[in-house]
Amino acid sequence: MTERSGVSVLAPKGELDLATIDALSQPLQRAAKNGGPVVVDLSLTEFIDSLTIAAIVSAAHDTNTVRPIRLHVTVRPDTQPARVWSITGLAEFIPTFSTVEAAVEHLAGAGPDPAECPADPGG
Amino acid sequence: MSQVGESPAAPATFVHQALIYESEQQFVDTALPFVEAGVEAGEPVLVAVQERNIEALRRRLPGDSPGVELRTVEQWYENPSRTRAKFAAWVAEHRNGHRVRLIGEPPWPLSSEARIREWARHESVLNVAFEGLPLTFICPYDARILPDSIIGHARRTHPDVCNRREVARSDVYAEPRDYCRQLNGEGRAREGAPAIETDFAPGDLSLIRELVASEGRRVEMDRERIEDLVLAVNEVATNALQHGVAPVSIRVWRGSEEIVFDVRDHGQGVADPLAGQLRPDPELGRGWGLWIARMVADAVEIRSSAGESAVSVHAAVIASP
Repeated sequence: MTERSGVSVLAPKGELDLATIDALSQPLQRAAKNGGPVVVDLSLTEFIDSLTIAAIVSAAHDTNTVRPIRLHVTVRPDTQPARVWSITGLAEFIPTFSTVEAAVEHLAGAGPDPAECPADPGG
Repeated sequence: MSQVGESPAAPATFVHQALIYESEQQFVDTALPFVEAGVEAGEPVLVAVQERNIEALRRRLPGDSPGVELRTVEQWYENPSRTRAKFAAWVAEHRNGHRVRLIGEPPWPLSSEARIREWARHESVLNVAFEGLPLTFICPYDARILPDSIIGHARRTHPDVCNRREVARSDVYAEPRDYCRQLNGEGRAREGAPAIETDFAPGDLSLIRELVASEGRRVEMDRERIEDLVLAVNEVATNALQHGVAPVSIRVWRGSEEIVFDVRDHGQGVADPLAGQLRPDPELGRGWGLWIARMVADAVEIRSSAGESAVSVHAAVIASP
């Protein structure tokens, strides 16, 4: 996990599955407990499945936190994570960007409304 | 008896009717007035049917029929779950306060019992998924080419059956949960020795994905279909590892029409007959696995018997030209 402009950025590399999902879900839970804001950057992730979706959705809507945390997602177009994210249709509910810079900028308060510049994950 | 498009069970909001036809004229006699009434009422109309039926309608509709979208089956239909999502998205985009009229003729894959059952489940699930939508959906069944078993599905998955300009209740309509449970019970393991059979644990999932990808490459699937197939089998395998009882195994059959990946464990299996059919709540972190598998697979079948649970993913093999 890195910190950029007061935003926690989680950028898991490689494949996320039942054997490796803790590499995302544990720091994500910690970041959510701290109140966010968080960017889940899937630009360097080669494979995601429903466990990644569940981890992101759970963190974004964690009922144990006092207020909903601000969580954005980054997917690089034409990648497997972009395809899966597109299938779920979650970009409608969780602001989604094609670069981590845009996501961080938006969360840090300087960016335009995400409705005007969401990533089109394609697929 | 009621007019086509009206339900004898008024005031239903979602109306789902089968049109079992034996000639082009019979199709036109029902579909054309339904489309024309939509144009008249300013209601959006989407028709996705066999090409010859599209042509028959096009010849009879005026050139400017506002709000009418005509598509061939090939242009519109994908797998059952994605097609259902497409219909839902079309309705959301076009309804604009109006009732919506749909005509949809699924591409029954006559060579695969599993995929036929998946389309039958789709027809049944529509009654749950679209419940409460201001929508009339007519599903044509071409009795000249479809076997009686599929016509039987039509009568069990549509509350109403059209005959030319009239509609009657189907007296064999089955509740979706009951019918999907029955269809699941008709699934069988493929006969003959599998090409591959192996137990696996969570640490083996990347190997399982590579195994699935290599099966796709063997039959020259394109990259996107292989990615989808890998995802579907991975979801089913993960589900068995998370909720099943070890040992968990996978078997692969290579048929000329389809490849079958059968994942088994020794648990009680999946109890919900609609598992993976309805989109999960976007605020909940559960229910995504089987739903994603169904979104990307040609068919997913869930079977349970004493002490053994099996979920199979079916991938159509498209013959090279």
